[in-house]
Amino acid sequence: MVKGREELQAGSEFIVTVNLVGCLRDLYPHLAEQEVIELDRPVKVAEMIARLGISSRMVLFATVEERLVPKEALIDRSCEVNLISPPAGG
Amino acid sequence: MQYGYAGKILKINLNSGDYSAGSIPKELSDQYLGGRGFVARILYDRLKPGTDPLSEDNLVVVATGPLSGHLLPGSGKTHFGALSPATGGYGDSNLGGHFGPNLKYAGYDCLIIEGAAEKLSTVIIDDDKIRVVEDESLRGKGAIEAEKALKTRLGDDFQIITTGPAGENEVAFACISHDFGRQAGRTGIAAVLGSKNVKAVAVRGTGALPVYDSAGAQKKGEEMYRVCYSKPGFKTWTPYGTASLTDWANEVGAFPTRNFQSSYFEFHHAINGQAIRDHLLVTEKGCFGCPTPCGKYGLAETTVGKAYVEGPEYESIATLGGSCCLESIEEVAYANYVCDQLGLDTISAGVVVSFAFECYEKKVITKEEVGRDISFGSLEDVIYLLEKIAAREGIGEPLSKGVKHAAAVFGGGSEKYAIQVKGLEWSGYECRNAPGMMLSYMTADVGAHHNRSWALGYDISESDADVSALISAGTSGELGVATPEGKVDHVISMQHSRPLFDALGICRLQTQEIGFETEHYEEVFELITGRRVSWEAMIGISERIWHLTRLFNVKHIEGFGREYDYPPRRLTEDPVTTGPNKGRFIKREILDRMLDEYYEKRGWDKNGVPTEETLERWNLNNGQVVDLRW
Repeated sequence: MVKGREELQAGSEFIVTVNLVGCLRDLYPHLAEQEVIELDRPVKVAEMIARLGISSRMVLFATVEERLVPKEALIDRSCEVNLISPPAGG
Repeated sequence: MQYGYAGKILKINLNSGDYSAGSIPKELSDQYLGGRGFVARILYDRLKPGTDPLSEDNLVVVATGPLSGHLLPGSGKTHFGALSPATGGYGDSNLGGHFGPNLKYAGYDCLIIEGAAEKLSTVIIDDDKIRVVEDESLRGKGAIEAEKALKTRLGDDFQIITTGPAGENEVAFACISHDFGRQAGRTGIAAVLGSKNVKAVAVRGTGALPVYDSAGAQKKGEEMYRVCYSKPGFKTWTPYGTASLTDWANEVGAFPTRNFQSSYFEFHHAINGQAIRDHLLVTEKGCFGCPTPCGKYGLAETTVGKAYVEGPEYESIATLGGSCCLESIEEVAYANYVCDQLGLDTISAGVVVSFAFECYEKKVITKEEVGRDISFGSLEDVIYLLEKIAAREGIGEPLSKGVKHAAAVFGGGSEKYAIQVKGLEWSGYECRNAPGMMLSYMTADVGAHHNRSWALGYDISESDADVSALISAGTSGELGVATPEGKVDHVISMQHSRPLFDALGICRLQTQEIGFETEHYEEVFELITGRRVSWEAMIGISERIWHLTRLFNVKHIEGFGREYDYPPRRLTEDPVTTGPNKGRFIKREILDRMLDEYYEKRGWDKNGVPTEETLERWNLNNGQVVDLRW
């Protein structure tokens, strides 16, 4: 679940809701379908993927608020991010 | 009455033209669910060892699942099976579209076609009116052309499967076509139809299906659609479909290129999902009940010709594009169209043609044998070979039986680059840095096919020793070396979960690609059938089917065992020539280690044959056959 702003820990600036799509759930069973990350500074999508312990190679697309973004895109506000794996073989 | 099922199995004998229908034995639905389960059990029970796949003694079994045709996401799937002319073992393939639901609405969950017609015929199932109609006018017609002709004649409300000239001519990798571009592509079932002189099967069903809790099932079905639409992956999956794999497969070094000499194709950006949208796409197209239409219907214009075509899907891009080195999406799509009309499986066809290119390049076959110069990258040469294969003319004759057979005819060491397992050509993933995916191909019951297990994700994700370093290097950094450790469990798990969808008669892409939860299927299964069966219990049924198809191969392929599970030597001896995995290959010792572990965990002996204990556990050694006499 997405935490409300009032629940943010001291020092955190914004929260990012990350949805894992496709085979990422199978590959990383310790992660939930929806993960919430608290950030205290802007980060690149790639860094956020690393923070979750996901191999960058298994993220085919990333979207921020439903818009395709490169992995170098900066996340600097509360938003919803989708990480989409390659199709698992058709 | 069994809720959820139409209730009957229809048998058509082409020798006599007689047909009969009987109830589905409860033990069949309880122990095998439907679809792939019905196909496997019926073929296992009814085919004798020594049967020639292209004789009238073979059967074609068409089966829907208990969820097929009901109002829920992805319920348009139909399964086809026969003793495969490609492998001599268990063969099956699956298609979407609308055929299966209509078969159920006509009153039949399953259709068994036996014997052979004297003349080219169409089987027509119009609710309870069954006819076998001789029709020589369809001879030689393309699969899509034949469907169009029959739709014009019978009416648009008939759902039709057809074969092309390749099926009529019994090419080992002839495919079944439906809905102007959907195929049950693999294992040569259309060649078996061709041997029976069946050009097409047309069905129109107007009946209803019995549902245990009709209101509850409808409510649940509506909820399932809402859940699909709400999934974050919904909006990103549909625009590109399977073609979105193309760039990724190149970046991780898994794209079959130049007949699997390499795993990286430098023109991949020109044949990817975006290229389809930019240069081909006319509209998206889905199957019965589909909330996530992945089909791409487009117009391909090339110097050779232009055509409307559905696709190409990733697998066709990989084999016709990468393996044959076609450098534009229009060329790949046009080659796809030629395969569709001829009724050739694009996966096998691409691998067979690229094998011929390499044999020619290496002077294993001569210009005189081929009939002209041929080379990688030429659309004209691809089409030339496809037409020769479908007609079984000249060089097309040995190639029409697949690369394993052709290599035996050609000699010259060409078996090393005949990329197949068990006689079935390898689909779209090069595996020399992917031991889990390699094992998936090696142990798939039908031969080298990806849909039973796709362990490539585990290979790639677990090969990254330092994620941060990879990210800073972007996607062009060097890949870690994938290890075989832990892969066997992943492969076995996938070999149960993925084929289960084929037994239920539903598409797995909603679960696999957009994260649709399997709990929904448990619930809707209970509402439709009145039976509470957990997903775990269904996985158990899928495991039973897996042992059964292995037994099928033991029964029908003389000397079947471990030797049939190895890939060609190219993949264990020759390093990848270019790309991220340049220099890599997997030694046979590693494959042996994985096979030993795989057999042990499966409960098979060291030769890969299920043990007595395993057969007993799955109730497969009682000598009983499911009674289909009526």
